[in-house]
Amino acid sequence: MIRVEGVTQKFDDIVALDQVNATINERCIFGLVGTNGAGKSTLLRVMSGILKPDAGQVKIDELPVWENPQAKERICFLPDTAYFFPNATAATMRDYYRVLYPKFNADRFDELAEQFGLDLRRKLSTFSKGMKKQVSVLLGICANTEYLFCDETFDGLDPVMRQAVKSLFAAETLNREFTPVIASHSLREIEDICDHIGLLHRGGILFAKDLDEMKLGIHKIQCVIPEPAWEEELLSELEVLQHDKRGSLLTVIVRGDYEEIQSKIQEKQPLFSEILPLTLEEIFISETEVVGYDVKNLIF
Amino acid sequence: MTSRISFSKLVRMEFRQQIWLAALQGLLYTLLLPFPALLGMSSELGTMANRGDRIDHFIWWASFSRDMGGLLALAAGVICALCAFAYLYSQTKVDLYHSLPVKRGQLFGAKYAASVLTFVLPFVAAQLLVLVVGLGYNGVTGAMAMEMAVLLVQQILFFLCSYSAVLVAVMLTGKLLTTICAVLVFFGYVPLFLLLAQAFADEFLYTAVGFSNMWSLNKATLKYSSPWAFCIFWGQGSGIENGRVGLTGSLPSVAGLCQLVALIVLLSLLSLALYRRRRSEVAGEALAFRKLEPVIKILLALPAALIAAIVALETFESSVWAVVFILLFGALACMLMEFIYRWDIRQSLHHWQHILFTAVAALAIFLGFRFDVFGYNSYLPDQDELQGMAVNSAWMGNRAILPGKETMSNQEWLDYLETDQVDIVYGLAENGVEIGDEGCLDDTIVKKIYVKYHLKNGKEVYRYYTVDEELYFDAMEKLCQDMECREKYLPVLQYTEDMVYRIYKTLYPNEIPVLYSSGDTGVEEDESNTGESELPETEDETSTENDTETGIGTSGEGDSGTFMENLVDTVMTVSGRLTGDAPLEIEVPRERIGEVLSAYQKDLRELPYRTIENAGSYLEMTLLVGHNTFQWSSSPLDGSFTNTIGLLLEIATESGL
Repeated sequence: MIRVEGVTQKFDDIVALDQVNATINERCIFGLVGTNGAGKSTLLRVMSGILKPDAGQVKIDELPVWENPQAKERICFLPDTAYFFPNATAATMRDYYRVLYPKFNADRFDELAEQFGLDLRRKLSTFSKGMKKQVSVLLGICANTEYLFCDETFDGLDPVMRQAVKSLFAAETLNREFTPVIASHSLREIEDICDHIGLLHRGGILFAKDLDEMKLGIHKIQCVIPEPAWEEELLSELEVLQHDKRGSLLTVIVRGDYEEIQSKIQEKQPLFSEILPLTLEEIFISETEVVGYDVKNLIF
Repeated sequence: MTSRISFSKLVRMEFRQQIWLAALQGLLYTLLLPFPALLGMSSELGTMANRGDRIDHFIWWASFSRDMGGLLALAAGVICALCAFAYLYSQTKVDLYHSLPVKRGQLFGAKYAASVLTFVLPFVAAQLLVLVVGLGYNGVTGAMAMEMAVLLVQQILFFLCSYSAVLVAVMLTGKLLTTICAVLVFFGYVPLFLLLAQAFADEFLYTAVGFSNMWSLNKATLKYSSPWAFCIFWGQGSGIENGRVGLTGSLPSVAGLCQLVALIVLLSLLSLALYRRRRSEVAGEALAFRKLEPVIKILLALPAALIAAIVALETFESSVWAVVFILLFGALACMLMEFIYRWDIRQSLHHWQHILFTAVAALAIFLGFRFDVFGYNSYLPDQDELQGMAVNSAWMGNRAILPGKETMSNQEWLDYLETDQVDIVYGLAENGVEIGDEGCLDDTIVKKIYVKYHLKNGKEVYRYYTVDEELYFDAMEKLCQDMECREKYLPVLQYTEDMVYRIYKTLYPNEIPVLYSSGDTGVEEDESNTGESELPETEDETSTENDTETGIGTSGEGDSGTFMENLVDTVMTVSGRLTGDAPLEIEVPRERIGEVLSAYQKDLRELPYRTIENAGSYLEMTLLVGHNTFQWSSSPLDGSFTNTIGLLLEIATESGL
């Protein structure tokens, strides 16, 4: 289990993380989403022991991660832009990781590299951005660490490779103690693979929940209420995150219990009502809008 | 909480990353060591008849040039440190290295050890190849192999010193550019500061003693000015004899060795401490520690402003321009530093308070010196506070030699000449303070003198004054009435016959008292013949005094009639040869050295001090101060020295000159 306890990270006057608290359980696939500059990469770096937080601490399986090789042996960090040594080949990097990560599975790496069509003897500097990303992912997977922190891992991968990587993550999660934490602003990718989500906004974590649970607790409703007064009444009765009216069609995103919401709508004798499935992107927009991150404020 | 990762494996991995550097160094050392040894031995084999010759010759090849080897080790230290820790300049690389399951100290150690290997392995390989070459020519001995081992140790120490010093610079900075700047600052800051101090002293502290030769006086300071300077000075100190270094040659001092090792340990620990404290996110920033920014900026901008002031003073000879330059270059230096920090020209004026502080501080320092706020030049303690004083002129430093002593500085002379006759010297000091930097008052002839104040509280103060020459000679006459004091001012009085190995004199016609005073030779007085060019600068101001003192009537009043008759006879005998400008070269025979020395010492005891110091020519002596160790002394001698001149003429006559 990863515990992030009151972590604050400042860069000069900028507060990148402000008293962040979160818990990430084992064997889940955790998606870290957030607005631009929310602090996703910073949080991953703190969790990897690269940055020392100004306050608070991160514990990996109850071991503090900062300057603690025992804790760091359980994690592998795949940054947004992977660094490979000059003139290195995939084999060179494999050998390096094999020294540094005691459980590194070199045979599996060779096998996967072959499956992915990566030439182990070719210089990595001649690889495309996507191919380098594949090597990076394979190194992370084969390090056989309990936790894998991925920063924008799907960037640069073609759709087939994205699916392949997602499958790899899923298979690893099933087969061994494996908890990937994936930071991305591509909510579709996160939604596909993650079962838990943490939402960061302006250095603070808004929530960290099970994705399904989150979807159960937030709903998108389209309805037509005959009387404007009843409409006003309905909006005041519900915990509305976002609403929009086009003609007589009212679209509302609300938080709460499905049955309860349905009953309140029915009380207003709607001419039409429908509860639609909510995408993660809509949840993201709704949640961040509540805290002032409103797209309307950005359109001139 | 220790890592399970093997340190040796980590070192091996790091070494693999830097193997290109080892290969490059290997190539360089092969070209510098075995290759020339092979060429040299094969080309010169014919000239080496026996094995001893071959061994001697081979030692020369195998020992490597100490200076060049030292410089190469220092350069290798700089390059290896920059390459090993260059990852700290890149956030991407930092992400990889600092996420690894190793402690920072362990990573530091692995990189450090790998760098040492990249230097040592190629060097040892090159040395082994040299030995192979030597074995081929049967020119290797055990002692020589030991020489090479000692050389290797020195090379490693130099490498480590340079390497760890650069590491400190790397840890303090976040960019390659600023690291290079930091290394240059480490290397050059103290020498530059000393130069600036000397420039200010030359410009403003006109009574200062000891700034006239920065190199010799500040050699010790320069040695400790940077790790690289320390190595260079240490290497020079250890020397090289007949191509041998180390055990069978000249071994470096143990104290120096301990200092060097201590310096390496200190720098390495400092860089490790900085490495641990350094935050990963500073990669790419100018400085790793933001709090140091204003300190470093001001420490660099302030001397820059002061150097600009000195340049303005030298160029325009105007304090107003100096102030303008201080303000201008102080501000520019601050802005440049801010630009280096932020890499954004728009933020050059970001911390305007630093510019203000630099300008105010530089102005305060400049004006403080300009107006002698601390009263350095006007320093004059109460006479009651003084335990002793000393005075001498540049003449002493240039001419007097104490047997067995190396050339003495002005301060050392003052220490030697210290007297308790404070009231005599104090008047001179008062006059010096009064005249100040004016050079001369009205038509007064002045003299430059050095004065020492020895206070009762133990403090010793040295000053350089311009004083009225008449006052100076009056004071010297009074001091030299005491024969002990006279012996100190005229060390020839302390010489004994067995000390003097040779006496030689180039005698000019106008130095012969009778001829000169009567004018019979028809030789006009010609200053150029009297060796004036050998005189110290201060003599120029006093040369007119010679004329009245060189006549026999003045100086020979106490001589006996017999001596005078003999002298005249002698003079008349050689007068035929002493015509025109041609000088007479007189070499005193060994058996008459004692006689000439006694005559000369008699003259020195009897003549007024003014006459002695103003003498236009010199008596050359070679002193035997040890086994096959000689010193050369030039002592004043001209026509006023009647006893000596007479005897020299007699010797010249006997020699048939």
